[in-house]
Amino acid sequence: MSFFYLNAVKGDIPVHLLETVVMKRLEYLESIVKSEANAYNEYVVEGSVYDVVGHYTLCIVAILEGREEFKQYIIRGEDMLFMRRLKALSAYDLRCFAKKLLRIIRKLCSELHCLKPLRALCRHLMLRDMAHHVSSICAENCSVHTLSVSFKHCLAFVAKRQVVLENGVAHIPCSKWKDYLLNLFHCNLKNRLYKIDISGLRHDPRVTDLLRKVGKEIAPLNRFNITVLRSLDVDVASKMFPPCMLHLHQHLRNTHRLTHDQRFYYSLFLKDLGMPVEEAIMFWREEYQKPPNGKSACCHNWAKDEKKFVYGIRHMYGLEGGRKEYSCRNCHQIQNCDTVYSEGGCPFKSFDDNKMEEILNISKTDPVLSQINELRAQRKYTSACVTLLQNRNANKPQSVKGDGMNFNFTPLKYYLVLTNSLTSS
Amino acid sequence: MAEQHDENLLPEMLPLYYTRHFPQNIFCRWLACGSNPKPLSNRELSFTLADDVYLRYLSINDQKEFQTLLQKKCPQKLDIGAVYNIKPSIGRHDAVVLARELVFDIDLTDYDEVRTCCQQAKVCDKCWKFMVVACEIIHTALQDDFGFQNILWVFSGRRGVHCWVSDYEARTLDSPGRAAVADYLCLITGGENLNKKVHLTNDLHSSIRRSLTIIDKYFEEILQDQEFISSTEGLKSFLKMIPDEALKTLVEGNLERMHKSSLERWDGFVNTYSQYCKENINAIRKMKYLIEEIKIQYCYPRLDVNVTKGFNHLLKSPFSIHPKTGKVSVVFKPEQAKSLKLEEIPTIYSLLDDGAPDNVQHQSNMRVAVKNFQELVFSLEKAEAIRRKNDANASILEF
Repeated sequence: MSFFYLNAVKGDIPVHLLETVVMKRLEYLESIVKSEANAYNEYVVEGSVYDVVGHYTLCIVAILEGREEFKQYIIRGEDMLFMRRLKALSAYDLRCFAKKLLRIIRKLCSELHCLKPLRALCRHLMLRDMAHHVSSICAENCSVHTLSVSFKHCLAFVAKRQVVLENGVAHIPCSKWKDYLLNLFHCNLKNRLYKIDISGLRHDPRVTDLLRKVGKEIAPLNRFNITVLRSLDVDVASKMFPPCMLHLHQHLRNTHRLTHDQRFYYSLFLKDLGMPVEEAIMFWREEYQKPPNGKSACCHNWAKDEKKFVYGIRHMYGLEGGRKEYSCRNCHQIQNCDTVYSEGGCPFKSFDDNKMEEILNISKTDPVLSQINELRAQRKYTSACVTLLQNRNANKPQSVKGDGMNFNFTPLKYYLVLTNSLTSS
Repeated sequence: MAEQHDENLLPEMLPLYYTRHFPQNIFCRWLACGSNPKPLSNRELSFTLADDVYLRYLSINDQKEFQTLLQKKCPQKLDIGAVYNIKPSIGRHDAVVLARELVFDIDLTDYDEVRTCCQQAKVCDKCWKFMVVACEIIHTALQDDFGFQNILWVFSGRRGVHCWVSDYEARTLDSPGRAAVADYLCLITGGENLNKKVHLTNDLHSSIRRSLTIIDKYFEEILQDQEFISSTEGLKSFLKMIPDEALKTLVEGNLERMHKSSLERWDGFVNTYSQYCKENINAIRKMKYLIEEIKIQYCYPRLDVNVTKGFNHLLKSPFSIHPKTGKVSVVFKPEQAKSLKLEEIPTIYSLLDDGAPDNVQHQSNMRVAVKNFQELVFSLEKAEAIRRKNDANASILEF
């Protein structure tokens, strides 16, 4: 069995032992995510039965538990564990790892997307001089050896321009092979957690017991009180908005217009805050009936486009068209959506320093600002926002565990934490 | 040349245009080929009729049905959508998207913060040069880096261009794949609250180097046309792109004293920068590629990434008529983009009016555009036939 977890292991295990294996694994992953030193854990010995069983069962728990932040948390933990193990392999161990994977792949019945490139990479790694090179000699920009795969098999590298492309083929240099292995592992794991349907297991008593045990351990962020938000309450409520939404609100009040995407994001945010559809229509009508103040890329007005607006708002609430209900974008999505003409975006990422300080409304001498700027320099924009939130929330009695926040952080969560609407289960 | 045209005449003229000039046969062949292995009827089309009436989930079985539909509905806007698992008119919201050309949309309004000759809906031959650069950079990247062969470039009708990649690999590319291609090509990030929108890291990727070579071919010309840093405001925006305060002050001082010509000021900037870097070795670390970053912010293609990332986004069809300008969304070859003159683009008015002064020229240009379209569709059909044959052979071998 391999710690790449390409296939599960067969056998029987007492339920109480299964629970122990899973809980110990979760504990181990927690310490890895926090970058704490971890003691030897007999349940997480790489490639052992407990290790594989623990991984797959934890995946089942993550899928059925349902919460996005838990899935992301597990993925982060497993990714970090994989990388730690990979880096610790000697040249000989690396060859064994590659050969074992090739044997498993040969016997696999399913057609996983990552198998082709994985097989190609393992064929390289099982060769003595390649394994030796990758384990010891290979420096940061080394490209003595290259692996050629279709660009479709290394999208993460392509998106960041970290690999040379030629005619649809990506040439991955040996210095990036370990990162590429991690990427393949990550994609395989994501597939497992997001694309597999195991709803049939939901009522299995062994699983429900386990789910309950795990549920007690992880940060209880799931209960919150949402009251009705009326159009005339928004100005007062905006004092608790996260910087991104506060900026959009102010921009709207000042210019009476928002471009399409920003209008969409802000509407979703207000909806998630509890604004009913009739109040939403009133809210936007009030702004769009006024003429735009200054130059705006948005050319609409209420008189001309009322029907379109009302349809659009109702569509968002799942009352028209496909009847799909939309919810507010998360921070990751907002950060990756900045277009050139956009008046919005994540202030920590897409605003100049002085514009950001303006919307954050903190003085240049405030120590939290330097913390925020340091995180921004490391491209940890969500962490910067969480830092701001914790700073603002410090005096309140209830503060939620810090590390749970960075996973699937959303503007809504910011608001809920700040207004103390979050209650533990 | 008729600048004033009456939009109210469109309902009478469109049926004639669709019958006489719109290349229905090649259009249907292009869509059918791109819908393969599904039939043409699984492709979604949408019409916008007069009075903004919007019809979605339309589909056609063949050209004859298309012709009838065009005559019956006479759409003012014609958009093309994705290929679904079932006929969209039946499946509607529940239909699943299977494939769609990889598309790009470049609009000159996204250059409003850098172009000085025009703003918003206005466009001229000077700012058209940005499109020439964009076509060359994107086309080369799509061919050389991604290996795509069937790349269609279309004038969007007013102030931009669309690009449709019909290769099988592109059509079947999923959402994450499209996002990756868009991110690969996107170098300018940040909205109106960010002054410096380009940040290049230590090792310039080969595609960035290549793009800079292409930009350099046109940079001086564009600099002279646009005079980016001649006005006080232009100079101010330019200075905001310099991350080092000391250098910024130095450049401001030097440039303000100089003649207004942007070309001279640019050379002045380059000299000041080079001198400053020689004297301050630490500065190099922070601003190693400042000149390149500025060139890219001024000239590199500004894509609407949402259009590329979206799988079922409906995009305007080639050869449709733009209701505001009357211009035909003509197909052009990227290497001919430089010689494309905006007033030589055929319009529905000049095509249908034999007495119009530009009738002959526009008709001729229309024929060229249709021929460009035809060539691409033929080569697409050939490529598809070869692909199908290879797939068939491969499955025989497996068996």
